[in-house]
Amino acid sequence: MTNHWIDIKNSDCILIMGSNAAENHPISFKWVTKAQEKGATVIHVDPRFTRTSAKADMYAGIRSGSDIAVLGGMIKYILDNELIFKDYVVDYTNASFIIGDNYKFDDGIFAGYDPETKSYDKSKWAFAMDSKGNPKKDPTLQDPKCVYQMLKKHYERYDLDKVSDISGMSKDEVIGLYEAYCATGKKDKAGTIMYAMGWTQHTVGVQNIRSMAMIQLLLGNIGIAGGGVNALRGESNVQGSTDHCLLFHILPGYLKTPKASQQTLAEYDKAYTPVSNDPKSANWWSNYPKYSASLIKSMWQDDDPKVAYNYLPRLDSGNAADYAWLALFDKMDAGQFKGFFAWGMNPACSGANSNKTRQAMTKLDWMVNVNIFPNETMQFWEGPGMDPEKIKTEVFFLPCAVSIEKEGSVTNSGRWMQWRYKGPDAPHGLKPDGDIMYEMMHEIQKLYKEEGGVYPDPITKLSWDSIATNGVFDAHKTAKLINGQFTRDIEVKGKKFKKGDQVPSFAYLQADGSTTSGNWLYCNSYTAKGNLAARRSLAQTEEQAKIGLFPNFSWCWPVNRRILYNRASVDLQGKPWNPEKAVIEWTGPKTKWVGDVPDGGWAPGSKYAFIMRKHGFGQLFGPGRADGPLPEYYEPLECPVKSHPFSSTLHNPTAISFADEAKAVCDPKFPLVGTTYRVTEHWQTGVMTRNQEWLTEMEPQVFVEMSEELAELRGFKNGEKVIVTSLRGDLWAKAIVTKRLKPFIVQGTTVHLVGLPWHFGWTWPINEKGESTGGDSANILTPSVGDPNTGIPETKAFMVNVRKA
Amino acid sequence: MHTNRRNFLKLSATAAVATAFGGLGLGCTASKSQMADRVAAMSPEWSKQTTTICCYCAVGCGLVVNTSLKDMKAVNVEGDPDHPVNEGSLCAKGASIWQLANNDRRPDSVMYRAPYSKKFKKVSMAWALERIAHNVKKTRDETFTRINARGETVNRCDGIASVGSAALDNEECWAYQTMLRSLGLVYIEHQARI
Amino acid sequence: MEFDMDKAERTLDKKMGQLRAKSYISVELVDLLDKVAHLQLKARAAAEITVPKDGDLAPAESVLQGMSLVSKEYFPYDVSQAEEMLGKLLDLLKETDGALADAGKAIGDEIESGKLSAAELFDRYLSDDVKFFAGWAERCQEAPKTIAFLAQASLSPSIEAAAEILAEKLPEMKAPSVGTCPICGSLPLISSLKEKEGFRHATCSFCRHDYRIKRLACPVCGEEDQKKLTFFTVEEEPGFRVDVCESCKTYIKTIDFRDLDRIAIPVLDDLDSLALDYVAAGQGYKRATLSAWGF
Repeated sequence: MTNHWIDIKNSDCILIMGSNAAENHPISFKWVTKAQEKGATVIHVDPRFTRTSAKADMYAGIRSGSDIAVLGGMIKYILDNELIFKDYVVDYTNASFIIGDNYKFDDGIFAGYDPETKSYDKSKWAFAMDSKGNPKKDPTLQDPKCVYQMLKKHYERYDLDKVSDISGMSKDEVIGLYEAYCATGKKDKAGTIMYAMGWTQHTVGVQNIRSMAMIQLLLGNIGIAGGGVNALRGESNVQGSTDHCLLFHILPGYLKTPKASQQTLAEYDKAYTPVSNDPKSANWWSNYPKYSASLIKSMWQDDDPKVAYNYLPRLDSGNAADYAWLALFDKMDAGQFKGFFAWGMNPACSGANSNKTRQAMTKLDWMVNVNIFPNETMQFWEGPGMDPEKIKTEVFFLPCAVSIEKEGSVTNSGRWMQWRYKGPDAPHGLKPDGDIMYEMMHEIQKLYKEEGGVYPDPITKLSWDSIATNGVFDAHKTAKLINGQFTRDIEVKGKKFKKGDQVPSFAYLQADGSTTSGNWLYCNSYTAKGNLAARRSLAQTEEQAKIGLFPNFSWCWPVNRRILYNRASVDLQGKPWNPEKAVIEWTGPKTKWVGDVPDGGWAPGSKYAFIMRKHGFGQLFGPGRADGPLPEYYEPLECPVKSHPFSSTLHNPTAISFADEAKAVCDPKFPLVGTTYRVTEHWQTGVMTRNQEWLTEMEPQVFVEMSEELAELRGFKNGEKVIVTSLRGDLWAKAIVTKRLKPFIVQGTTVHLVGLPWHFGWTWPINEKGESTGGDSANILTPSVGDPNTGIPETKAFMVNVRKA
Repeated sequence: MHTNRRNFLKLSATAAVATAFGGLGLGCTASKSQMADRVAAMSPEWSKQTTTICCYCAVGCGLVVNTSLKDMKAVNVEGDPDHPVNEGSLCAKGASIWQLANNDRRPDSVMYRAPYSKKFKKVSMAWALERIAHNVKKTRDETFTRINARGETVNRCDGIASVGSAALDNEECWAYQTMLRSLGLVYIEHQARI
Repeated sequence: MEFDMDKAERTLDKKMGQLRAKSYISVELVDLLDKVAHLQLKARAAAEITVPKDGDLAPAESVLQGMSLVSKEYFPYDVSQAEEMLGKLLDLLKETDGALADAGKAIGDEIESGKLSAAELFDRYLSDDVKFFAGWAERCQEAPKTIAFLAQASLSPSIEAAAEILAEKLPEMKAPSVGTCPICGSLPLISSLKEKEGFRHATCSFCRHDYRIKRLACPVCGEEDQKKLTFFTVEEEPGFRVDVCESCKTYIKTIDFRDLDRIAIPVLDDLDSLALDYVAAGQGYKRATLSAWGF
């Protein structure tokens, strides 16, 4: 979230698209309702009428996977009707940038496409540069090659007829949505988007979100109270686990994983440290070398970061297609891995194509699974269709403590780092994950110290004891190291620090090994002032109270800034666009900014607003994405149509897929669009919730929701057990025949959509005979295809059939 | 503020002698009434209170956990009324967290399945960690890539993969990535990818 | 909200009935409070109050930081009503026996003789004249708080009415940073957990204002370290817990009727749960305030 949960109350129009917030983020609705009570319009666009729809002022049904048609149409609507927030667009976005001559777009394909590698040469999308090496601009937005004019051209195809025709939304619904939402392009109006997996789990996931980010930029909705681009993240610490980068391509603080071509720290830093020749561009990532050196120093404290850089493993490429989730399990299936950790995860149910995942696990020599309860991953070898006697995999299941039994912090969707205290003791002497991993690595370190081995230095020299006290994992010590410490007596910015002092904020980090910081984004969270994440004060100034800002409750990255990009909430003189809901305000050279922590303390107008971008502007034209600089409509890789009205390129040409796995495109054997979702009473694969009687009593088994029309057509009865099938597999489910789903008219044809929750698994709950009563994971149906940027699988739109059990 | 502080100091001075309802001499002293017997029969059950954050979605609702100091088990878990996001409200899952902790389905020891075995057996944590360490070292040493096909130094372990976890605390996430990367793993993924 | 006298009296009578059922609470005490509470209830509805002008109240920003709207010393009350109440209360004391009656007589005599005026008594009470009250406690050793009781109980109806008017002048507050009353700055005499969200409220020991306090903080010294804030319950007193603070060694009882079919009248629930005060004292903790009647 660029903003935070409470801030939703400041909105004038809340678009909930790609999420069922009322059921999956129930408490978020406290703030949606507050906004609504003050007159805000709430719009829900979703394939299914849910509790979110029931609370909304407007609901529109959309065929899953067709969002970019609707959003592209909204961009056209804004441009055609001149609804942009002009000053904002000129001052803060790259609308005025001139696009270089190599850029082209033709029939769904951008310049630079290589069909062989299914990838683009992104250099073809570069901006035209002036003699100083800065992008050429036309602030009048008249130049036919400026981003603004190119947007107009690109989206002129996205007219109402086409949008309605492919999405299944009626024209009235489309117009209603556009009118209501685009009314927020005014100085004193704010519109916000609440999205979740309904947008990310597509082969166009990134471009779904980019479309909306562009709309928010055009309407001047980024950086302001009640605005922003707000991902409703689904796990208590998925924000934190992403910030700390338990992902192949990034290191803590969104630093890049080194590549094989970067043989020294200097080469690595150079590759990722952008250079701007414009003095007004803050170009914050120019600090990259300070953050990388401090990270390396936090891991290997006795070595010079230049030396310890060699301890970090290097990738052959940065492509999701080579390393991300889908590739990982594909390679596991091909026998590449002998060992596997599934730590706090149940991949046998959670990822796309569960049967493939489960089969892949049979190729492992050993697996370590850490979890609260037994689950389908650790029991995969005795699952449906498995013969234990033929499966070699050695399995270690390490049960662990639950959240209330341990101390540490988690970061919520609004980037609040919140401290948890330990309540009860875990039963049976079970230990927190931190203790288990500390002891495990300690054991490995001991082995390498005693016996040596292949390239032992990264292990033997690892400063592992800096996260423990007297041989026990210490969350406070670790949090302090993540913040960062000075490694010697030093003076920075006129302030003297002693060796061992906490670094006050990332502005003090150094590139020469004189500071550690496990994650520069969290530098400022645990300082001389103490553990700021544990703060519980509701104190606030009058300005802060007006917009529900609680700067003294918990801590928020970066440097306790509660609303990101907030320099865009004021004009070039530092006056808030909307004084009633000011996020920050310039009060003069002496008193400076009041309100939130500004996105850099410089005087207004002296630096461009988007400080994390090399050139300082919000990117309407985004030349960094794998699948194009502008969002373009493509069908899901499994879809019910042979063509769409925007181009003859049916699918995202760069999407991740495996050639040997068939896809159902207009396949009469799988005529129904399938989608997955969650219910309030269960969580993710259900490992935690299926084991609780209070919750399984409310939601005991997997179901498939279908429209009355489809049920009538196929003769299904409400409550009947049916079989849902796809090219990957099948599972039984209870049919729920409901008005919540309606058939869509797509290109003149009726398209039915069915949906299933993915919380279930064969191991539990069971009856007295030991038979599963909950059913299995809906991911048995979903395909191994994914977004080319993120690698996130397309589990929200795929093709299935339903038959009688 | 000044006034409050003054009041506060005076009142805490009276605190030393305050026995509510005892100042009118109406037989409410513990020594002589039935009260004494009643009080003597009462045995206080002590609890501690700790705040935590819900372990489910990323709204990050605050919880108050009451834990019996006698057996260190949770007595109840409820919404934290002073948390500015949830203001004491919880959803069905959050409201059930007590049952997540107090649950017979939680295993009481480490479980181990030997290759080709049809069942798990209970093993000690120490035994498991030693054997896991041995496996990690063996696999890493066998599959470690110093130099890639292009002749570049890559220093990575291609034979072990990891998934997880958004269910870990920040400090654990950081420690886990540190552990994995020092081992040379590059196939590191978790919930954020799906 | 319109004050519903009938309903208030019914609730009061019901609560008094419950108190009488507790054999270990002195009958004389319950009798006395029954009469006093009814007198006060009637007086409260009749109280005539002029509250300070908005400009004389602490500004909203200061209140949010923990300052009270007005100080106890200058708290508005209905002077003539309080004087009338004092007379009625002195009459009530005449109906009692022993030390309390003696103390009542001594005070009554002093007032009758003109040595002490009602106005002076109220002034000294509001300005917390420790010496004055210590002197009287010395004179009436068996009923040392009689004079404080007379002052507080006489003032209560109009103070409570004033607090109700002043409450509307308070800025919107969640759980403020301090545990003292946002209207008069006094400490709470008891706290309660309310609604399904478990909001913690306090009842002011002086003006009886009901206000939000932090769930996990000592309202006396402000301690927020969770290790120092434990509580105990006893099986015999369901619906009550005793929150203690290891920093200042005080305790405050907390009413939690959320799972019970009981209506809270905090000032009387304080008496209802009197046994817990003795248990708390036995555990080594002290109470920061007297009862809502000044004794």
